[in-house]
Amino acid sequence: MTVLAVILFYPLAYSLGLSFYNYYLPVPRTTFVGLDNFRFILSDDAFWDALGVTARFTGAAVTIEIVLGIAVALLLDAHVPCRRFVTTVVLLPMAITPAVAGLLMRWMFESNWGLVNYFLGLVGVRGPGWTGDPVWALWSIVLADAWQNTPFVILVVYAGLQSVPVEPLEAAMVDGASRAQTLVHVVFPFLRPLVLFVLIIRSMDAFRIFDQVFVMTGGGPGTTTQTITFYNYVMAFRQLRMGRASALGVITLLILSLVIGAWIYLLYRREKGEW
Amino acid sequence: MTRRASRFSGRRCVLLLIVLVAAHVSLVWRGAAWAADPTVHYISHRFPMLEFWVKKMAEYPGIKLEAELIPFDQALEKMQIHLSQRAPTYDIMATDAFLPTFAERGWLMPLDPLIAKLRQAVEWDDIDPILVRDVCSYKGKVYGVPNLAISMFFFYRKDLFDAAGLKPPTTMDEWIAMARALTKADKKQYGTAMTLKAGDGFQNDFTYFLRTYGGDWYDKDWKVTIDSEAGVKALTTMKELMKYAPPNALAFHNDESTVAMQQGLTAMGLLWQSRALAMDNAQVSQVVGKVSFAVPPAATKGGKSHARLAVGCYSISAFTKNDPELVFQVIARTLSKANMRESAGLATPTRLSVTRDPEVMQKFRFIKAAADNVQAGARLIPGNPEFSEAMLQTTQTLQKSLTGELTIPEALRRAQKVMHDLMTEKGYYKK
Repeated sequence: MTVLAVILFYPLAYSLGLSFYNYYLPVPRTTFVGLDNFRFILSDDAFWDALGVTARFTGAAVTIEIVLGIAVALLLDAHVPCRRFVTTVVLLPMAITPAVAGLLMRWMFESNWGLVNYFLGLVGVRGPGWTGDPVWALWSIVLADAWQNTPFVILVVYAGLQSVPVEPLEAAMVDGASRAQTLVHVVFPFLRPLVLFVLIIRSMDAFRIFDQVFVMTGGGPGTTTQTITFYNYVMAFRQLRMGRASALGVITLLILSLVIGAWIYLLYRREKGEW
Repeated sequence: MTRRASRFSGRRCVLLLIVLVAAHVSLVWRGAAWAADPTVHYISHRFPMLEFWVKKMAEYPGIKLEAELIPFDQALEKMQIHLSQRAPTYDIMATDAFLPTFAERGWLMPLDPLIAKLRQAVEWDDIDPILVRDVCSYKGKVYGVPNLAISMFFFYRKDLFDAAGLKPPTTMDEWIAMARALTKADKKQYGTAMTLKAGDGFQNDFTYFLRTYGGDWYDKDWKVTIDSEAGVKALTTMKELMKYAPPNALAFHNDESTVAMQQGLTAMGLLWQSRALAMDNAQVSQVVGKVSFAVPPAATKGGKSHARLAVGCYSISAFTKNDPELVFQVIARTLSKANMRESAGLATPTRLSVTRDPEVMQKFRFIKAAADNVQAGARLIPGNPEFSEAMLQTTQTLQKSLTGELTIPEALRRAQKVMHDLMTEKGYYKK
């Protein structure tokens, strides 16, 4: 409990406290401003823009990761040659530090000399400017995130598939269920708690994305890839407005709690909280 | 307690003792090393001239120089965070355009007493007094040692221009037309380089276009004036030129623009003088001997162009734990005549006897181009401490007009508001 208090509650309480002060790093003196920092953020266009970018990013990245992750896990669960080798290779991106992965992806998506545009060129497609293109910049981060985090989904779902009991599968077969019917009506109900778990973890992670944005685009061009955590970083370490940055941190925490709560409620409303 | 547990506990004690002794010996040893050779910590952004200075400063006897040369925005960020905590992390910093900001916050050491003491030894009176007074001083005190001056001027591929029968553009309209003519995207050849990454990169380009069209960031009373006709013309021209720049020019800072020119990707563009020599470095450049230099285009024929001028200032942290005189002597290495002569190809020296030396002028053709550029109207960025603070947010907003997120007038209106609010907060205007 003491450890929890020191490493979790104290920073949280400190940050909450700071959010009520006008704490500008170059000026050691701080003044109590009540809810001014929260008012400033909620009326700031940049905050709403960043929230929109974060929502779009989270939606796109998590959807790709879940769909792709389940598909690959099912493939691995079927008879794939050299399954162990393939599984190891598929899981490799997870072992790379996000900042390093971001750097790798930045070069992959480099428009003039990058690997992605090189391959697109081979099939006669002229690739976009990716990280410098307002339309494609966010997508390049989504793809980078999907590349790194889909293996996590694969790992969890694949483990889940291994634990599906044989009896219901045999019963379905005896009853003449097709492969698709077996998947939907027998396998997926077993996977549902795991998928929810993955969804929550990935949503939380995606919502807090920072490394790839920092390395690949720096929030640009314009603010097209400025996510809420990146905006928080800009506020804290470039504008040096610690009070406002703390308030933004508190707001982010509240939004995230609401989003996760909504996920649990929507997906399990029938079971009323059964995991 | 069992015998086994007791024995295990004894072993752990011995192990702990060994670790503690080793740590103590290591600390004493390192402490002794520190005592013998003080470590001087340096931080700046990176370009060849600064790398050269680091090499020369590290040659100062009896010190160990720990240098961090990192991208511009990261260097600024690190300096701000450490200095705001009054941490003695850095002794020497390339403060350049941020000198007034840092001096105002009390983060820099006034150098006047050290200059007075070492005036003869470092031949201080030979250092360009205008640079000392106008760039490296704040409120009458000297806070920096000026050791290089650079400006942005026009780089162009002479081979491509000759083949197309073109001369370097003298107006914005000519620049656009030539950029269009020289763009062959299918051959990966783009008409112009544009440095448009939000922050310092965008600011450099925008400042040039804004001032060349007759505008500026502030008027003489520090009223923000970018939301103007000149601002509209500046962004309109930038947007037009961006069509003929490499597709990810919005993510280009100085390094990316330099590499693009070196790799033959761009036919012309506004680049820093400090990058000129790198064009002829056969190890990294594919355009050796093919790049020439000119004064950047004006708004109209016969008009003036106002590219950016920058002066490198090395400052000493107010929180240094080292002997300030020693730190100053280390910086003074960058001022020696021999070192300035050796580095004259990388930037314009700040020592008058070197810049007036005909041999140096003849050897490095960029110095002449730089001098012409200053003559044509290259200017420093505004000297108020708030300018650097507003820069990131402002340029991010202005950049949105190029991405299409905002219209040009709206971007200018919003950017002006950001700057105006900051100036109001800092007490420049009566509320």
